[in-house]
Amino acid sequence: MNRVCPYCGKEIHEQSGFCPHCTQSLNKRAAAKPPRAVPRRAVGVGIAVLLCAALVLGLNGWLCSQPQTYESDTGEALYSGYRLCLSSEEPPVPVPQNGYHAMLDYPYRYPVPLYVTPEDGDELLTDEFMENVEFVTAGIDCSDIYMSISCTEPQQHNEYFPNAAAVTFVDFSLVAPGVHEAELTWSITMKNGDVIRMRQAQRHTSISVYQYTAADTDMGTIEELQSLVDRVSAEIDEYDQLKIYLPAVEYAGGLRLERSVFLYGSIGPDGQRTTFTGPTEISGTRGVPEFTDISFRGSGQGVGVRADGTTRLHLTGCRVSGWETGFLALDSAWINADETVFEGNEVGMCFDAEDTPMVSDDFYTNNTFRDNGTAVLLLSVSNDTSLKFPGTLFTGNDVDIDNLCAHPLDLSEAAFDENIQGDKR
Amino acid sequence: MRVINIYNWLLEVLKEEYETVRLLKESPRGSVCFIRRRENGRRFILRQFTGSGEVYRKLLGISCPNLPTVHEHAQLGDENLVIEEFIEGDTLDFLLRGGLMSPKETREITTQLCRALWVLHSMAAVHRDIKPDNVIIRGSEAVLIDFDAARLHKPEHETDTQVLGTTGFAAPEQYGLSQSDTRADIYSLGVLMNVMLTGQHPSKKLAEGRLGRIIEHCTRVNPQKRYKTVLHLMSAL
Repeated sequence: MNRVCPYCGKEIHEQSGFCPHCTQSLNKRAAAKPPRAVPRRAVGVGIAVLLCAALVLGLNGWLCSQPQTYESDTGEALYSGYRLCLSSEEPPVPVPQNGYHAMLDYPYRYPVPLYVTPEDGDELLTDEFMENVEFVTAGIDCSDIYMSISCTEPQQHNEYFPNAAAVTFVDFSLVAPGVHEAELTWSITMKNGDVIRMRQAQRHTSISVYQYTAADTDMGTIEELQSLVDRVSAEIDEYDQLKIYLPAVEYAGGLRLERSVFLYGSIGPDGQRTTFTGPTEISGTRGVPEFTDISFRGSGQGVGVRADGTTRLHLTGCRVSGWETGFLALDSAWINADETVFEGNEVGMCFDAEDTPMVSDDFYTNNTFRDNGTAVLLLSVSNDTSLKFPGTLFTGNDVDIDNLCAHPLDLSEAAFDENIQGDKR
Repeated sequence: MRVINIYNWLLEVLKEEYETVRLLKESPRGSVCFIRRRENGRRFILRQFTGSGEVYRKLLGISCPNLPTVHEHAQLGDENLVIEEFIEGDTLDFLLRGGLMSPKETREITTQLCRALWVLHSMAAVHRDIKPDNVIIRGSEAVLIDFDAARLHKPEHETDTQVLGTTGFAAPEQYGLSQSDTRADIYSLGVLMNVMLTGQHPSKKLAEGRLGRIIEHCTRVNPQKRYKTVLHLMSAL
């Protein structure tokens, strides 16, 4: 210790930044203050105005009256009390980036609507704002040669987004694996010459498709099949597609799936179809999995095919027979069937789902509900989409449709036994 | 000549000239005491803890109205001794027990906490324990305290070595998904804003309106989808 405090003269440690004897700080301190958050463009404009003001003071008033350019890359811009928002929902929530998972060489299209609200509210002010707009353009900037991407000219009064100020549709396809990026720029030119430029990142990722067949993988028993699904599910990305082409065998049991899987059944030379004799369950999946040409045959107990979580499951060309409940939607799941036969079940198809976030398909086309206790039981369907049954035959059921939740139905193209009047509340 | 370490020297002076008024906090990592110099009655906070004191050391040269002044930091091995300004005021936790904050108050407090975080983040430090207990309202200023959980963000580290922070306010990545960076603080700030407005975690009840959207942006599970920096958050506010 060879220092003394300059304030009290007492001895202090040579490394001291503070005198504990007189409580004076000996550190040199710098005031830390964050820079004022100013948009990039505003900084440039500010500097330009300052320089001009210094050089030509008399032009101050003239400069202030000149049109301004406002820039944003957050999906949201504030302008004269308005909030402009790139969003696909109402009330609008700004989306700074769009990102989709896409198969290679497959065309995709998605909308990017522009909404206008007050700065502090959600009320849509489309017409009021658009009266002050000269014109609106949109363009895509992409230097990635492995993604083809473009956007349409912004449209007003689009039928799908009637409340949006304008909407552009982005078309893209990926030609190489990986992540591909581009930038969408909206330019809104006001009648007073101001320009609002909103940039939004577009970041799309390729997905892979994994296919397995009985010729190259062991899947002859339910244990082998379950093992295959579990092993592959653990290894591949949740967005990737898993397709399994099943042999024409009878599986002594059912599958438990926790990811989206496309199952394709087959028919052997002896007429044997791919058949599951135990309950099959699928839950919490992304995408819209599909089971095609498969029989689910029960012995009077349990659920043949159960979807829960947020699954959206489609059956195509399947047969569901001999179950307490043939095809069941729980939680937030959505189920759909086309060209499928429901036969001899206590309940053929049942919705007991709440808070379904997204409907994948509301057409139940060319199905047959035959000799069930209740063909279709609707306990809870949590959206307003009407269920349509074009070409579907209801025959021999005790009750065709038991609509306990009074959900909208369109049965205009369905066929019923003349002698059996179902409860179609 | 025997060279005395500043840690031992300071500890000795504190024993002789200061008295402990109150033990504020004690944990396996250390303790926080409210101390007073006997002769002139000046009050300070004394922190004694095990671990890294780098953040306190960096704050020795900083003056910011939204952070406590760190007067001294002494270290001996893993042991740290910090003398810090005593902040006169009530904790946000105490104030929230009396009622929720208005959107205007929430915006002002959050903006001031952003200023404090900007100082920390510009030193590559992450606070990692933003919660109502660690915010003191001094007059019209919000002061962010307690950097015991703070660490310097080192991009090469894959995961945090210890789970720190306060359940509910900590970002998901602080529980081991990836190394917590400055966006973990943005997450906690979002939760804090929601608690000021609604008294609840945003997963239970999200605040309405524009502030609700800002909170939603702060508390996204994927850090890359949150505000990139506190300056972006300040701009949104």
